[in-house]
Formats: sequence, C-alpha cells, structure tokens
Amino acid sequence: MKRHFVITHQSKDNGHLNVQDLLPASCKLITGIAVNATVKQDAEMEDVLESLSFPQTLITGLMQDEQIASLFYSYLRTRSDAAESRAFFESDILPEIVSVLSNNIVFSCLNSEQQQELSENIINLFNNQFTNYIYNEAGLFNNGQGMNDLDFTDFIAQQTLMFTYKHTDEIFKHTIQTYKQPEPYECGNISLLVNGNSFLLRDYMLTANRKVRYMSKEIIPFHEPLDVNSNIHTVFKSNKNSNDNILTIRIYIEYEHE
Amino acid sequence: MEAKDTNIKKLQVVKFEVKKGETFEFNGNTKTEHDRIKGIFLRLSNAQALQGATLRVWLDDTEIIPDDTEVALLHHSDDMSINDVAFPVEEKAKNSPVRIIYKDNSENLAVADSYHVRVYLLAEVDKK
Repeated sequence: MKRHFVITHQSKDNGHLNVQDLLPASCKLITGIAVNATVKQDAEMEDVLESLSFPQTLITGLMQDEQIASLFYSYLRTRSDAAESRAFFESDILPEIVSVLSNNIVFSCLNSEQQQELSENIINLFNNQFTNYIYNEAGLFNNGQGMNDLDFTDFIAQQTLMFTYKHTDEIFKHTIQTYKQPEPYECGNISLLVNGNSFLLRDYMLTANRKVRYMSKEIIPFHEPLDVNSNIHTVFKSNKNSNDNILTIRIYIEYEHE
Repeated sequence: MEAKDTNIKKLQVVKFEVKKGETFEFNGNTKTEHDRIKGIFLRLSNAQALQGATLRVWLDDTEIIPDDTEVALLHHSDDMSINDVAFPVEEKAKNSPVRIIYKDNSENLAVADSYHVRVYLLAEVDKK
C-alpha cells in the first residue's frame, strides 16, 4: 500500500532554503514525488460580465398570450395599407409586446436595480429597432396578408423570439464581482537529495500558484530504495520574484508501506 | 483479460461547513453496511477557497492523508474523472472511525464567509 509524507517549508523575504528532514522509518522505497508552491496574496475584486440564460419558453409563452391575440382583429382593418399597418403596429401592438416582455422577464439572480436596467434595455431595444425588423426583415405586411388570428400570434411570437435571440448579448447579461485569483509565476529552483548524495530532483523549476491537478497526475514517479533513517535534503534557490510574500513549498513523498 | 470487479460500489458523503480562516474537525463513522473504503475525494462549494486549504484524514485510526496535504490535490472539478481524482486507499469500513481536520486558508482571497465541503468516500460492499 502506498502512503504519503508531506514536508512543508516556508521561504520568507525571497530567502533560499537548505534544510534536512528525516523520512519516516517505514519509508523504505520512494515511489514518487510531487512539489507545489503557494503564496498567500490578497485577492482583488474585479467585474466580470456574465450571460443570463435566454428565456426562450417564457418569451414564446408570453407572446401567445391573450393580450397580443386580441389585437389581431384591429390589425385586420389596417392591413390593406402598408403605412397604416405600420402605424397601428407602432401605436398598439409594439407597446403591448414591450410591456408584456419588460414586466414578465424577471431574473431572480438580479437585484432590483439590475432588473430595472434589464427591463429598460428591453424597452429601448424594442422601441428603437423592432418595428423596422418586423416590417423590413420579417416582412409582416406581406406575410400578414392571408393570416388568421392564430397564424398572426404565432408569427409575432416567432419573430419576437428571433429578434430577442439576435440581441441576446446586449440584453441578457449582468455584471458580477469576483475575486481575482493570484497569478502563477516562477519562484525559484528546487533540488531534492536523499542522504546528501542521490538527487531526486535537480534544479527543478517551481511555479507558485499554478493550477494543481489531482495527486496521481502531480506525482513524478521514482524508484528509490532507502536505508532506515534516511533523510531528505531540500535546497531551494529563490529567484527573488516573491516580493514580501511568504512562499510555502510542499513536498509530497509517496512511498511503499508494508 | 482483467478479472471483473464484482463488488458493489457505494458512496458515503460527509458534508460540513467551513468558515473563512478556520479549522474544522470532523469526527464520524463509516457506514456499517460498507465493507471497505477504496478512495476519497472532495468538492468545495466555492472553488476559490481551494488555494492554501489543507487537510488531514484518518480512516479506521490510520492516517491515510498526512497533515498539511493540499486539498487541491484531492479536489474534483468538472473536467476530471472521479477515478483520476480519488485518492486510493484500502481501509476497513464497517462503522470504523473517520476523522478529518480541514484547515482553511482563504481569508486573503475574500471568499464568502463560509462554504461547504463535501468529502466523498468511495466504498465497496462484498457480494454475498
């Protein structure tokens, strides 16, 4: 069965290390070594933009609501003339769509200010661009000629969805504050010697604050039989990059245990 | 061909809350119906607290993870397979004691005041 032994050393003020540690008595065969260095640093806050999920089902459901469907019969009267149809859309249908969307798209992860901002973004986007989109790109006037009420609500729902989806990045996002994690940097070289002569590692470059993987991936395999009461010598040469921070070096020794 | 492992795999989860900068000691027992523990790994509810956190674990009164071992070496994140991360052990379960000492070191990283740690024990039950 394999066991592990951890040796921890600290380097202050970019100091070099030259230390000796006794290995456990039951450690007769070293099968692997892993080394990691961490530095305790204060983290800074930073703003990160995060996307909100796109509320597809909600938008589809809202658009097929009674409020929109009931406008169809008024729209019927206007569909002979493009300008009239457009004017009616702007004066009656668009405000209805805007109010349905801005009142009902609510994200529980947003606070009241952020929610307000989201609603305003929806209102502005639709008021400024939706009429042009639905008449010029989607062709409501031409396509709407032979529609019945169901086709009409379906068309509005589909186009609203497509339009919103095209502008997902503008609307469905919010700013969150996260802590900046410390950056990795090369902090020095480490050499490990067993009983003062046999090198396990020689001038091995240590990176502080690097992302550590799981134990079996970190371990560098070795096969180093030992005498009883062996010791391990750690020599660390700092490259003076650590400023005032205390560098903690941990050496994991994996050994065969009877 | 490799002999097929016919033992039944089970999982035991130990969950505790750790406050920023504090040490938490957990004392409990493995489940009576499990025969042995084959592996151990952890997950943190806030992975930002990972840096500098260390732990020490005893199973069945045997120190399987020595003092000052970094939690990061046993931490399962979404891009890893559990088999890779799980720290292999071979200890008796059957209501044996579990002792975990978890030391947080995240007060400098300004993570939230506390977070949850889940320790997963991969257990095995012999097929009768």
